[in-house]
Amino acid sequence: MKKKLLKKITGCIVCTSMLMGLAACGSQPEAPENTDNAESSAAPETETAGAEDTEDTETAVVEANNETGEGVTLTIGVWADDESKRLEKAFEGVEEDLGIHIEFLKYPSDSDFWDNIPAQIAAGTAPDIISCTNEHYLQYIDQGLFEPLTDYVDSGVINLDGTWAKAMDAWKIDDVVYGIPYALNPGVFIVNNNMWEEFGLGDAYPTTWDEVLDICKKVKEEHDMAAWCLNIQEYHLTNIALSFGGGWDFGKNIGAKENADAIQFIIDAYKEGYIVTPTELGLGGDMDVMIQQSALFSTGGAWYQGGFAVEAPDIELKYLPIPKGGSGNGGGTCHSAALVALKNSQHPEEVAKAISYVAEGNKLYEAVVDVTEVIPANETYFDYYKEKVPALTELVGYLDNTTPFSYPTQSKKFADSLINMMQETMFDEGSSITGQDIVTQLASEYGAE
Amino acid sequence: MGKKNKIKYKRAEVLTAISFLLPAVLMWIYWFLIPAAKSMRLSFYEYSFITPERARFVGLDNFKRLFSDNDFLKALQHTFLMVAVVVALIAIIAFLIAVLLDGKIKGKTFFRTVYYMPYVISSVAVSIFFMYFFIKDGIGTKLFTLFGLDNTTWFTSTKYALPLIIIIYVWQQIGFYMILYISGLQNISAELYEAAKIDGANRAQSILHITLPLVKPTTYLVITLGMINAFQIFDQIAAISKQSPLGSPAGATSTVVTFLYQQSFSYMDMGYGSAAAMVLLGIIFLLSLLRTFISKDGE
Repeated sequence: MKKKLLKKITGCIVCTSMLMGLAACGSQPEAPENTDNAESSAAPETETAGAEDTEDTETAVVEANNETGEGVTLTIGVWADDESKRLEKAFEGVEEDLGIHIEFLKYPSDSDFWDNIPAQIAAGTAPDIISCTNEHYLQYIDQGLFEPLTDYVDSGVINLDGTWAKAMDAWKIDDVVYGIPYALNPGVFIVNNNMWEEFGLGDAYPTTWDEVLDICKKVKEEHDMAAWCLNIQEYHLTNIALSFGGGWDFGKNIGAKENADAIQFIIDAYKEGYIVTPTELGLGGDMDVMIQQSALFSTGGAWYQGGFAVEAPDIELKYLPIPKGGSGNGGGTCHSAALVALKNSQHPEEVAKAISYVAEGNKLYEAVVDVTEVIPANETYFDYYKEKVPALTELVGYLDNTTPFSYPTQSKKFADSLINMMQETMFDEGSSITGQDIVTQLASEYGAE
Repeated sequence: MGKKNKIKYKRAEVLTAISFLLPAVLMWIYWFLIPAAKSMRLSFYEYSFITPERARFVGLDNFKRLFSDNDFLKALQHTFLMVAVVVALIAIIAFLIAVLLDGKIKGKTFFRTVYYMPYVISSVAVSIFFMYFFIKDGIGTKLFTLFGLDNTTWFTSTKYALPLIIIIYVWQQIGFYMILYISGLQNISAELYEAAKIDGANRAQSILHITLPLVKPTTYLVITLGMINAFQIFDQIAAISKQSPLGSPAGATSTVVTFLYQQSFSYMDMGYGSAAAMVLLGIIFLLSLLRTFISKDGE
C-alpha cells in the first residue's frame, strides 16, 4: 500500500518536474536564458561591414561585446538585406577615420527583429544601433528601448540640417529625438504595366478606388482573375484607410466613418472576387504575387523596384499615387527608416559619433539612393535621387501627400487585432462582420482620448 | 554483521545514485525550476523585461484578466480540442502501424524508417510542404473533397486551419510513438499468441485480448508524452501563420502556448504571459495527475 502511494507520489513529482519545464517557456529569467531565447529559431546573422562572410550569432554576439583593444566594436541590427547593404556602404571608412569597428546583425524578418531585440536588450546582447522604420516604433519608445538623441542633436554632434520635415516630426516625440531618419518610402499603388497593356485597359490609370473597382470587374469578367492583390497587413490596410480620409491618429480616430468605409470597401471587393491575398496562394507577400503575375496591382513601395529587378526584370511597373476613396484626398503612409541608438549600449558616445559620421557626409544618403533606389530623408539629396533613379522620380512628388502611420501605442497588438478581424471577415464565408463592426471593436480596445 | 554489511552496501548505492543524479538535478534546478519559479512570481506582476524597474505587484489581476479575455479563452478551447484529437489519433494510428510492422512482413525495416523519418525533419519544412498540398486545388485538398470538404486553401480557412495543424503534427510525430509501441510489442511473449491461436482466436481477437492489455503501460506512456507534447505545439502554427499574427487565420489556430508567446515577447507583457503559462501548468498537472490515478498502478 505504502509502496503504491510512494510510486504515485514519485509519478506526480516527475510529471510536475516536466511541466515546470514547460512553464519555464513563459518566463524570462537570467541573462544566459535570455540569450538563448533571443537566438532561437530565428537567429540573426552577423556580418562585418564590407565583408562577405557571415559568422554564427553566438560568435557574433560575443565579439560584439568585446573591444578590439585598438577601438570599439559597434553592432548594427537590421532585418532586410537591402538595408544592410546600404548601411555597409554608408559605414565604410568609419574604422579608419574613427577607429570604430562596425558589425551587422541580420534578422530573418521584421517580426524576428522586433521579437528578439527586447530579449537581447534584457540579456545585454542587443546591437548598439538598429535601423528601423517609424511604423511600429511607438511601443518600443514607450517601453524605453530607444535612447534619446536630443542632446547630441542639440549640441551639434549629430547634424540634421536638410532632413525632410515630416520625417523629422515622425522621429521627434514630445520634443525628444529618438532616431536619425535617412530614407523615405511613400506608399504607392503599383501596376504591372505589361499585364495592363496585354489586357487592353487603356491609357488612363485609376485615380480613385471606384475606378480600381471598375477595372477589377473588367478583369474578372474577361480573364477570370482577381486583379487586386491585397496583403492583409496593417501597412496596406492603413494606406487604404488614409486614402479614404481616415487613419488611426494614435488611437483617437480609429472609429471614424472613413476607416469603416475603407474596410467595408475591401470586404465587399474581396467577396466579389476582385481581391487575391498572398496567403491564399501560399506566398509570402504581395510582391511575390505580383512577380508571378497572379494580380495586376497592389499597394506597396519603392522596394518593388529592387525585387523586380532581380526576380522579374522584364516586367514594367507603374508607381501611382494611392487612389482616392470616399471623400478622401488619396495619399498613403510613408516609411521613414532611421538609425536608432538602443538602450544599454556600452558605448553611447561612439554610437553618436558613428551616426554623426554617416549623417554628416554624403555617404549615407548616397548609399540609400545608389544601393536601394530609395528616397533619402535629406531634402538636399532629392535631386540626386531624381537624377539617379529616373524610373521612380514621381515618388518624390507623392511625399507631401503622405501621413504618418499613427498607430496606437500598443501598435503590434493593434495590428494583430486588425489583421485577425479582417481575416475572420474575409476568410470565413459565413461572417457578417462589417467595416463599422471592426472599427468599433478596435476603438473600444485601443481608442484614445 | 550481515545487517551492517547490508546498510553499508545501501549507502554506497545511494551515493552512487546521487552522484549520477546530481548533475541532472542541478541542471534541472538551474534551467527549469528557478525560471519556472520566477515565472510563477512574475504572473503576479505587471512586468516587462525591458523595464524591470517599472514592475508592479498586481496580485491576481493577471489571472482575472485572463479569464475575461476572449482571445485566451479561445486559445484554451483550441488547445483542449487539439490535445484531445492529437492524443487519440496518435495512440490509435501509432498502435495500428506498430502492430502491422511488428508482424512478419517484407521490408519491415524500410517501412519503419519511412514512418520514423518525418519525426527527424524540421517541423517548419514539413509544415510548408503540407501547405502546398492543402492549397486550393492542391492534392490534399482535392483528396478531402471526396469526403465532402470544401475545395479551399486550408491554412487561410478559419474552419480548416486547425485540422490542418493536427494533420501535420500527427503525421510528423507518429513515427516516434510507433517506435514506443513496437518496443512494447516486442516484450509480449510469442507463446501467448500461439496459445491463443491453438484456442481458435483470430488475429483481431488476439490483438484485442492479448496485445492491447499487455501494451497498456506503453499506451499510458504514449498518452502522457503525447499530451505534454501536444500542449506545446508551436512550430507548425508559426509556420502556417507566416507573416500574419501567430495563430492565424483570425486566431483559428491560437493555443495557450502561442498566446503566452505573443503576450510575453511580441507585446512585452511578461506578467500576463507568465499567468497564461501558470494556467497551462495547472491544467497539464491536473491532467497528468488524473492519468496517474486512472492507471492505478502508477506506472
